[in-house]
Amino acid sequence: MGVSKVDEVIRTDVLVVGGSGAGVMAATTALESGASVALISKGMVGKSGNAIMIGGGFGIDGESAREYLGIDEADPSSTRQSLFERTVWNSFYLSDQNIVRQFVDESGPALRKLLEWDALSGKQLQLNARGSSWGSSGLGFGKVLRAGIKAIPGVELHEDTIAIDLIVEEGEVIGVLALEVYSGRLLAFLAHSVVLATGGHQPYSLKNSISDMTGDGVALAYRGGAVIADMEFYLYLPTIAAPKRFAGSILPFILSFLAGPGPAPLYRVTDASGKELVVPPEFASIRSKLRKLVFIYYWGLGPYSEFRKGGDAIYFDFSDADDARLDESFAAFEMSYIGRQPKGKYNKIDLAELKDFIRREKRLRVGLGNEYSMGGVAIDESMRAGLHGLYAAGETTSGLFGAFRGGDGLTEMLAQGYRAGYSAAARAKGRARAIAFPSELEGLAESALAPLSGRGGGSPFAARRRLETAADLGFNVVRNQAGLEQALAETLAVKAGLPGLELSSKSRAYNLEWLEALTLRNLCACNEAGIRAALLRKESRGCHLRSDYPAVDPDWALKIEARLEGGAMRISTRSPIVEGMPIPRIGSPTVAAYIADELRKEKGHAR
Amino acid sequence: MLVKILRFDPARDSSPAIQDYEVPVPTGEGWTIEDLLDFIAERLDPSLAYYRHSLCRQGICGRCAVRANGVAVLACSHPAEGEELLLEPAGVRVVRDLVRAEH
Repeated sequence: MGVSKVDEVIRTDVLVVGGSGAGVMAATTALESGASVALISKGMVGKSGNAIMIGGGFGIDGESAREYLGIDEADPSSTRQSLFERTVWNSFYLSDQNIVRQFVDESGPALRKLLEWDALSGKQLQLNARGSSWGSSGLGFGKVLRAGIKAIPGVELHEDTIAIDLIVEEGEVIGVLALEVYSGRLLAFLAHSVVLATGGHQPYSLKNSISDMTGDGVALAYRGGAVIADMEFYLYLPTIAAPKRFAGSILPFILSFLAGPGPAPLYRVTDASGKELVVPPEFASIRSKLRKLVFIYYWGLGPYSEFRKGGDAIYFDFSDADDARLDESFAAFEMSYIGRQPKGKYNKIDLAELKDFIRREKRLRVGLGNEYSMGGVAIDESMRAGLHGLYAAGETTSGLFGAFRGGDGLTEMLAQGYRAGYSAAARAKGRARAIAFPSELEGLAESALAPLSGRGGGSPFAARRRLETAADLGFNVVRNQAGLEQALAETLAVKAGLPGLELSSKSRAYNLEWLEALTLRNLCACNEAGIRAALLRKESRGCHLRSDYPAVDPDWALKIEARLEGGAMRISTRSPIVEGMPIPRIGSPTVAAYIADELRKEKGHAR
Repeated sequence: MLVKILRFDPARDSSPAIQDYEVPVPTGEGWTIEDLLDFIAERLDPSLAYYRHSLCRQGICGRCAVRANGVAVLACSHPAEGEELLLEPAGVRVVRDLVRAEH
């Protein structure tokens, strides 16, 4: 037998894949339970993942804030039960209610740990007046996570390390093959439990998320035989599309809170032809999470209905705002971020420069950029992912938010990571260590190295662009049959071309083409599952809008799942798990009408 | 714009050397240094290594730092201006080209 292609083998009880909130929280509770823990992160903890891109903050219910965090000013009428009901309603009844129950029950204890890290980080989180929510900059939140990982020095930390494949032996997940980005070395982590906490996935060219959201954990689970679900649902946020130096910023969404109703709006929202995209008055005053869905519907429907690239189709038109109004609005914007952003800036954007641009050009090109993916690995309330030894937490999972995320993604990762660590450690306790070198490991390593010797198939960067264009054109905010079929054909073509991709550099050290080739595999799987689900779901529900099926269909109160069977993707449906909130048989001619019906109820869940 | 990049692959080269790239920067689009590097990697020379595997692109994470005409800047936010630009790694331990070791 020759020299192994695996450069190092690391043995541990629990391997956590992912270094943001879910990962750091899982590592914390696993270590607390007495397990040995290794954590791998694609970037650096606190400087990667979508948590560092946030513009607002996060919260929990008032009841938990009072009970677990001792915050007396928190509103006692904001109960766990009310949050449970609101989350289920917002999901358009596709949530698995056992998962929602875990979310509301364990957010309090999880947040208590986060606040301990916050104290260690020099206090980055600002408690809001309501007493149960916190404001934070993305960078500040990252510092809190960094304090969290430093608070558990017992963890074996491998940053800038990408998970390539699950190691599965006789039906059990026994580890992960990973790649050190800088050196190109292959590491095999052998563990009794693997927790996937790799965040979501981002198929489109317009990004307000971190650049590497290729759905690694979701695809690893899928390739290992686990079920993934709800892949057709993405949350979009108004994002600057042009010019390039401002692009990717969620500033337009934040600005919308300041524009306000009244005789002198700061801007009008129009499509490319100048026609105004009006949000009806009954929706315009919504300031809850539902606001995002309102924008998706009213700003997305026209511009994104046609079979062409979105992102250049929505404009914030400031023509009617005079200099005084602009100055006043930008001052208010700056004020709202005082202490959380450097003076005069919002992240990389120089606010004076942006104001000048708006004064000159009058219009700012805005698109609906993907912020979060509701879909992912199917789990139960213990964060088990259906394969022995496999767990998942955070945006990587599906089941909490269903068709629309009416709650906080940050809280999701903390509450789920918290539980995942305990579950993973419990399994590891008392299990004998694996002593044999897993038989399939050498094959996995060869597969990981294969792109370095690919021939004739074009560049991985071009393949990625093709995949993004397919999603931009046919799997975007508003879908239709022809567009989805075209997007699927393109995605399958990219997938078929993966083995032949040719790399111009065979160097192992920091080879971006190699990383692209490997992670493209993951994004292809995620996109394929999402497009197939979108084709099957002949209705509109939550964030899945179809121009050819605009109605919310009560027969479609079902989840769509995908799994790998016999080398092909098999799609199936099942009913959501109901625990306390039966699914009403109601439909509606449109998603907007569905929301409006609930808004009219005195004791409705839409707030 | 003439973009000169200090390249070095420790596995192959004995010492660093500057390589020139001519990049057609469109006017009025507000290109950043990152846009220049992406253009070079995707259209001219895919072997170019620069920090790219986990980017915020919003000036938050600080990992895309490079030295532009001698000054350390963030590639994602620094404007691509002028006729000539020299790019070097913003650190001493070079992994490859503009990528520096951080730990």
